[in-house]
Amino acid sequence: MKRYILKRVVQGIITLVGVSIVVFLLIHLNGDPVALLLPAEATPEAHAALRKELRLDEPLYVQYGIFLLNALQGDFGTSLRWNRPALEVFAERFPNTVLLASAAMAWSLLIGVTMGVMSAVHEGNWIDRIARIVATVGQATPVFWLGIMLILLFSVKLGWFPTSGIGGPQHLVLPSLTLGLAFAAGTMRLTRSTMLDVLDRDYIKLARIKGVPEHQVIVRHALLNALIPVFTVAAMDFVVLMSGTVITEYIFNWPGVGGLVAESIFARDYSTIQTTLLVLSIVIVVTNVIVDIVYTYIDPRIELE
Amino acid sequence: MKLPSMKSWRSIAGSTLMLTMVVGAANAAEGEVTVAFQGTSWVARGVDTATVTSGNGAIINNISGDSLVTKNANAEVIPSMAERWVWAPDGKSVEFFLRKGITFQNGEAFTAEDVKFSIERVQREDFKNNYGAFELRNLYEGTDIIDDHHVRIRFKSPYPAFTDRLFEYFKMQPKDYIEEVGDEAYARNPVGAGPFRVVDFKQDSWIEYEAWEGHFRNPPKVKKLRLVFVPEPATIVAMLKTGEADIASVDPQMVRDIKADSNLRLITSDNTILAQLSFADVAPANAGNNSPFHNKKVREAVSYAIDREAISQISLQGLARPFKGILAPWHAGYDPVFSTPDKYDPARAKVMLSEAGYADGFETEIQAYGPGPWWEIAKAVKGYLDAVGIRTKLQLIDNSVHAERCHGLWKGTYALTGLIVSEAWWNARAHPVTPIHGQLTKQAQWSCGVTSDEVDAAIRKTNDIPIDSPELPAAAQEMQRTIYDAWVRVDVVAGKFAMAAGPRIESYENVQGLVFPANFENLSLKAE
Repeated sequence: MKRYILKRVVQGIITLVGVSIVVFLLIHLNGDPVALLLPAEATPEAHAALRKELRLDEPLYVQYGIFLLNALQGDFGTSLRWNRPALEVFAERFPNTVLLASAAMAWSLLIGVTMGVMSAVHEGNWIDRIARIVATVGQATPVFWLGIMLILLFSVKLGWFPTSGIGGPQHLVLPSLTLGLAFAAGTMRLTRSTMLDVLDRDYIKLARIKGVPEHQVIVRHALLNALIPVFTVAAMDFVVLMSGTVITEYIFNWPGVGGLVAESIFARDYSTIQTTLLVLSIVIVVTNVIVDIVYTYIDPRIELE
Repeated sequence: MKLPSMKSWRSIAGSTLMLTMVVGAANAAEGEVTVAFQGTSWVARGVDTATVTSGNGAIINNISGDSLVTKNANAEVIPSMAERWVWAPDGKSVEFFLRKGITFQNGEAFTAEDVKFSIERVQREDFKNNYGAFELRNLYEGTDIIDDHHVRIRFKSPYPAFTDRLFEYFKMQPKDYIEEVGDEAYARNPVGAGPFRVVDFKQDSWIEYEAWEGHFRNPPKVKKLRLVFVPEPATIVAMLKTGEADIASVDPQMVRDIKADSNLRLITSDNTILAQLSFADVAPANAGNNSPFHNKKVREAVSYAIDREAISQISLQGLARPFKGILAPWHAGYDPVFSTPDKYDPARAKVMLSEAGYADGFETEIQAYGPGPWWEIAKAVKGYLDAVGIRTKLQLIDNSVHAERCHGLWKGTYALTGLIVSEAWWNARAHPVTPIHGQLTKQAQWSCGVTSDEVDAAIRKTNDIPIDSPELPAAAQEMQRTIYDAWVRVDVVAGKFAMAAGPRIESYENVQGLVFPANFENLSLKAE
């Protein structure tokens, strides 16, 4: 077990080093970084002084070493657009994204697992067919369209929830539902297929022969086993949600990391883009490692290879 | 015991006066209003008005800030924190006589020291994103404090646009308070001299204001104002329909939805958005490249290739009209005959391209900064140019990137070529050079200094003529002719700035000729 964990951690570190190299090179792709940092009227002397101060006159590998060392200390430079430390800008938005992603994941599991179980239990009948159609439509529906439709229905027509912004729990409902519905379709299909697989196992048949009530067979014996791969995929979805909520944040004016990335790209704010990419990469890699390790505890049949 | 300084005594007197005014004006302001704007925040640090990052930042500046001058609804520059001002005959300095007995929102007395401090603070290099200060940095020479209520601001060359810029970007800030608490604390707890004071904010999301009923000039009519930044135009319309927003900026594509809702009404201010195409290759820094746009005939062909009427009616939903002209009808030297736009004639454009040696067309770039109507206009222009063989690659970029690219062009670190869809404006009641000083002079902020030596010289010559001089109309006309003969830009459409108001709003009147809304202190709500 220890060897497996060590192996996964080392793999994670190698991945992060690779990401850090790509992120470091990002700022060099658009010409001279000093030209980006200084005002137009700056003198050649000011350029030279800043170049020396930032050690941009050093060889590229030395610059990378400095970048890595600073990053490890939480220093990602100053945001060009916000004129503040980039990590500070990121840290302001990140909790909002985690909140939105968590709520969306809750919707995804609630709707996806419920529909998946119902579909599997009623395999082949009208409930199954409707659930599968809903899942197909759900996966094919663009998030921007769904978001605007939800606003028109629940905010404009019914007046139940605010259209946008951040505030109380009521502000969280529509953006998280928009995202959650998009992911629920996948969760439903996965739950359905794993439930069908489990329901066909001998121990389920045995439980039924022994006269265990059907709801207990489904919930206690089938669902708990079927959920293992669902939660594994959900953990990966959660990571995707944290890094890929740009459109939903845009529509619902949710001040999260997705919007920050979009604004930073439009503004060519390399420090903020670098910070966001690197920190999100760390979150993704760490989550992956944790999920892999936890998985071995949840399902002891998995071999540590 | 240490006695209070003179400034402290003045502060005490000012506070007393303010208290009296507050008591007198008690209960004058009522109700809450939410204002929604497309885009994200335009302030880099908290709500420090010296750090606005785009032209839209002028909206924030005018809510909590005040300056030596202001503008009325007809866009006339009128006294505010200064009672009057006098320009030197050479236009290179202006003396302001400050209003006595007025304070900032924290009770700190307003004096000449605050003027010097504010004008110099806004130019700080570490506030490099400041939108308006760019021009000032190039022209500012110094400020002389003549006495507590009398200052002289000096420039390296005549700067008739300065009073306009005061209103737009250079707000008065309390020197003692900022020096005491520092930049960071000030950005979190800003104090201005405007009609509303900042109560709370969430960076890039919203700002909450409360009426400062002690405002000497124009106490607001509403008690609380919430400014919300919303990136998606459809969400803004939904907010208006649900009542989450009372008044909002409206994307042209959403105008139909506003008109279809009887609860909402459109509020427009005329001639505020002038869209033009600048030829980046004309810039002196690009003299050595081999762009087809160096040929004047190709630039002229661009003008005939564009259907301005269709852009006005379709892309901007009837909120615009074709236009041509540096000079607006209210400017000295305006000539209606000159101001007739070129007609849409793609066949003629193709012939001109052929005569210029580009019968098969060529490839180029077109960039537009935004978000806003410029992006819509750029998309339409791209279609028309593609149709005559000028195959364009479209780049939609943020305002701040545009500024960086301009800097890159001047320094030779960024190869900015092709076409730029940029914003011009017609400042009402101002010197005719005011709208283009930041546009067509070398190293101008708003269109990357795309100009020629003769255009730059013509503008500077007109700039040096006082606004009341009888020589100005002829000089302005000559300047206009020089600009159009050089074909440094092609005018596209003159649009209206559109806002929509919900049923709670009784009245709101924007300043005519402004690209941004202002004077929210005049906004009033209907009685419940």
